[in-house]
Amino acid sequence: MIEVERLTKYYGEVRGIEDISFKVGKGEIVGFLGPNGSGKTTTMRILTCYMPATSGKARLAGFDVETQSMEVRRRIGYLPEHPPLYNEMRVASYLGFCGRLKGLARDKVRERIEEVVATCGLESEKNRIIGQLSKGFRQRVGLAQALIHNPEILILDEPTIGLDPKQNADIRGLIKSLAGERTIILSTHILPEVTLTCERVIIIHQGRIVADSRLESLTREQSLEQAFLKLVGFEQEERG
Amino acid sequence: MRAVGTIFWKEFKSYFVSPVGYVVLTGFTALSGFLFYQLLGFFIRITSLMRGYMVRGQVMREWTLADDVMGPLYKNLGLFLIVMVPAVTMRLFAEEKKLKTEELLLTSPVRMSEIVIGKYLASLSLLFLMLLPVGVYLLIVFIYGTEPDMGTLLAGYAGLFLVTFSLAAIGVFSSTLTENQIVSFFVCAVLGLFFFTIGLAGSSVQTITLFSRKLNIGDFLQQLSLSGHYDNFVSGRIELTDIVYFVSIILFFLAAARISAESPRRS
Repeated sequence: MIEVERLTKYYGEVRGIEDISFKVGKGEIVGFLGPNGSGKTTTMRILTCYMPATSGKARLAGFDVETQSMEVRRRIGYLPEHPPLYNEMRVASYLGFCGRLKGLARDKVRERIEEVVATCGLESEKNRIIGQLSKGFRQRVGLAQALIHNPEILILDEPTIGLDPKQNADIRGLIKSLAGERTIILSTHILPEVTLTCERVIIIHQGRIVADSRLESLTREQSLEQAFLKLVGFEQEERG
Repeated sequence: MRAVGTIFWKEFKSYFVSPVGYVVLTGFTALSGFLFYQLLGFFIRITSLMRGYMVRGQVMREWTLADDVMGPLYKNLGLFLIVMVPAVTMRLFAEEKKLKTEELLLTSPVRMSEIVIGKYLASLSLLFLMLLPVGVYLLIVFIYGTEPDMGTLLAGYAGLFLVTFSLAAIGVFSSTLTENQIVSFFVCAVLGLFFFTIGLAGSSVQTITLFSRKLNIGDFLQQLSLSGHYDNFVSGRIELTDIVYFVSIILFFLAAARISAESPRRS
């Protein structure tokens, strides 16, 4: 579903990511793990066609992000780190706007709004103004926006950041319930979140992949935290 | 084209969710109405005193509604636009950058040109509504005036729309440059002033010598000036060059806006 080959991104002289390659099969949930500034968002932004890579290739659902970007964009749902919400709009009309933007027909949009509102537990907030919603609900609206066109691939950048434990568990449950028919990549730097939702983790550090394995094999002999610190922390000391 | 409509409606509605739409509409109507009232009052007073512009007891030029009421009105409204148009356009892209909603637009299956056109048309629609009351003044002149030159008056009105639409294109471009709406406002206002006043430089800078060649830059500057082409409309001369000028300004700045709005892709 997702094939990434030797993806590299430089911002001027500064390295964003370097030589990242991985594959994600259909229906997998993959956790993208790494400390802040390690290149998670950069990778996701390239996959979602927000910006091009300096070199390397990425294909989503068989389409190249650079040459067939419109096809890719039609097939992905993306929740950026800051949910892209218009504060003055009401939830339902915002979702309608997103649906139309993603290419849904007018009558189809109405149907999909009902569906995603139900999926994301937004029934009671449907007619409220987005600017007045709590952080947890804003995150749900962001997720609903990513789901509106029923995409095959979901890319979620830190979907649970800044939420309280209850909201956190809610969103996690929601993401889990979406798995199965969809391929999901989610990034986070909160370790327990990965163990609770993902089947596979890719650990990225200073722009490079330092581990890519199924969760069980990584946590067989040690906790995920130990594994993570080993991969990330020790290397930092060496370079430091 | 679907995306153009989607963007258009969202932007147009948002003018009336915030105070911007109401402030611009009432502000422009009140100010232009006051100006029209003043000019008309002056016209009535002066026509009761003498028939025209007099030199040594001889009438050099008769007072007309076109030259002495609507002409000055149009020219002054042109200056109002330098404040009104940026107020309408400053939000368009700057806010998307600030609220990071730009990420939604750039990752949707929509071309940047569709987004620019949708936003441009939304601002045009509000500005169109803003200029409608000026039609009422035209109507007053038409109904109560004695033989007003309606051709000239309508040409001036058309010119007012074209100036507004050109400034709006400049405003859309300015809005793509920054995430700060105030900066966007001033960039548009300064560019607008530049295009209004550049013609004045034309008469003082006649020719320059570049690589031992004489270039008539004065003529060039005068052709570049918004006010020069606008004055032609106000005085009732509609020429193809003027129309081409306004269309070129609009297309140039919209194209620049499209390129500038895609800047995240080039970072």
